[in-house]
Amino acid sequence: MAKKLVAVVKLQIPAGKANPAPPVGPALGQHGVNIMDFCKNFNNRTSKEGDSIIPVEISVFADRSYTFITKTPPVAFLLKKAAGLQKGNQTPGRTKVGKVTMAQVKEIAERKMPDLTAASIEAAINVVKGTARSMGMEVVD
Amino acid sequence: MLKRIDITIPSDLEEPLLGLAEMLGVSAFSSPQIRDEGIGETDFVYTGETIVSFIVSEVEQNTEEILEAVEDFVNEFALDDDAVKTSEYSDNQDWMENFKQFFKPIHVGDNIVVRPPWEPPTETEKNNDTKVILIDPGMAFGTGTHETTRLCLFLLSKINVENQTFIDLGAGSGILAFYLMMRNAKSGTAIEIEGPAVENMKKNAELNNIPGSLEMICADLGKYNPTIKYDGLVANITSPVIVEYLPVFSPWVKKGAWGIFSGVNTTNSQMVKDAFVQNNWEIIEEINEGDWCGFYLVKK
Repeated sequence: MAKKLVAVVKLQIPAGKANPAPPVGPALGQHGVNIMDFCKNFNNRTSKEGDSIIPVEISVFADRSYTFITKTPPVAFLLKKAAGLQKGNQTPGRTKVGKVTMAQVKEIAERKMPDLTAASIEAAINVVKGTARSMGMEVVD
Repeated sequence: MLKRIDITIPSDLEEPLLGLAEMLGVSAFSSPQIRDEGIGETDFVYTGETIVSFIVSEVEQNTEEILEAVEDFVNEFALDDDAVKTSEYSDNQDWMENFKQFFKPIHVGDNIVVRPPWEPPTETEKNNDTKVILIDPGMAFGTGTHETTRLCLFLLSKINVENQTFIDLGAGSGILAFYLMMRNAKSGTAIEIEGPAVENMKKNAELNNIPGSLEMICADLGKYNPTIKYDGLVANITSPVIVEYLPVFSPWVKKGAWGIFSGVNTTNSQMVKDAFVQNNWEIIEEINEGDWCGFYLVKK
């Protein structure tokens, strides 16, 4: 049967470790998705992905059934890795916490291109640069 | 107490804002906004706006500092003043239980009840003739009570299926096949192309004590070869699939067999009715609910 889409929700969850606590609980509970069922299915599908953070896009239908697709790691995760950061800056934007090079920014933009709404590689680079800035990172040549 | 901060942004700012959440150590999720453009699964468009929601634990995190960081973000990207909205969740919020509010018992006709297993029996169930179908919602199907499912149940309730064989095409949750087995059909075959749906169907069959004479199969209609000719057929599938596969599955039933079809939108009904006639089905009754049609047919 054709189902009517009522919501799309995007989450970033450690591989194999979804549980009903926030953000999963409030994100899916508001749309009537069976949270434990989602967690079980997500964990089954991603349990072999190591310590990665997995972006997941969930489509919720009018009858409260759902589908989900997993995507490439988030830009923030890739930037932290590129900058060698373990922890974030508690007041991003006010002090610089690390540096990434333009070459790294471009590499991340190319890797994330399929998942971003950006229409061109230049737009994707701007998204990555904007993310670095909001995280308190400096982009250097 | 948990505070929820919803920030409405152009979708291309989603990654930067999620980056901010990551650096602040805040749980976040995003909801790309969609606009309904029709009835189908793919009949929608993204509006270009996304709501990013931060979930802040007021006990463990500095809410003021997080709100200031959000404000800086709003200013930096020149967002509207009303882009940020806050709300709160109570301490005893049980996320796992929350979804259950969306699933309530559904009555079809006078004597069919579809309900989730955690809901208590309804008044209707005191009547011995009532058939109660328990459905535990999951990924492949939720309530299982789309208008077209109700149309099929209603039409099936009019047919004597005792000791008959049937096939359910695109069985989904299995509701229709379960109902027929509860009404003493001899045996049935429920075919569904989605693997997860078949797994859920099997679990719900156990929940409803459905006998083993109901076979539940994950298969493509185009590749299935039945070993018997059935007394009846039910198909709650989309119009294009009905039209495409009618020549394939019509020979699977005996002459004089009943056929219950739904999944047909009113805009496609003539196309489907023409296909019924071309494949030697006589239309006995047509009913509607909302934009959907259900058909009771007999094979000539």
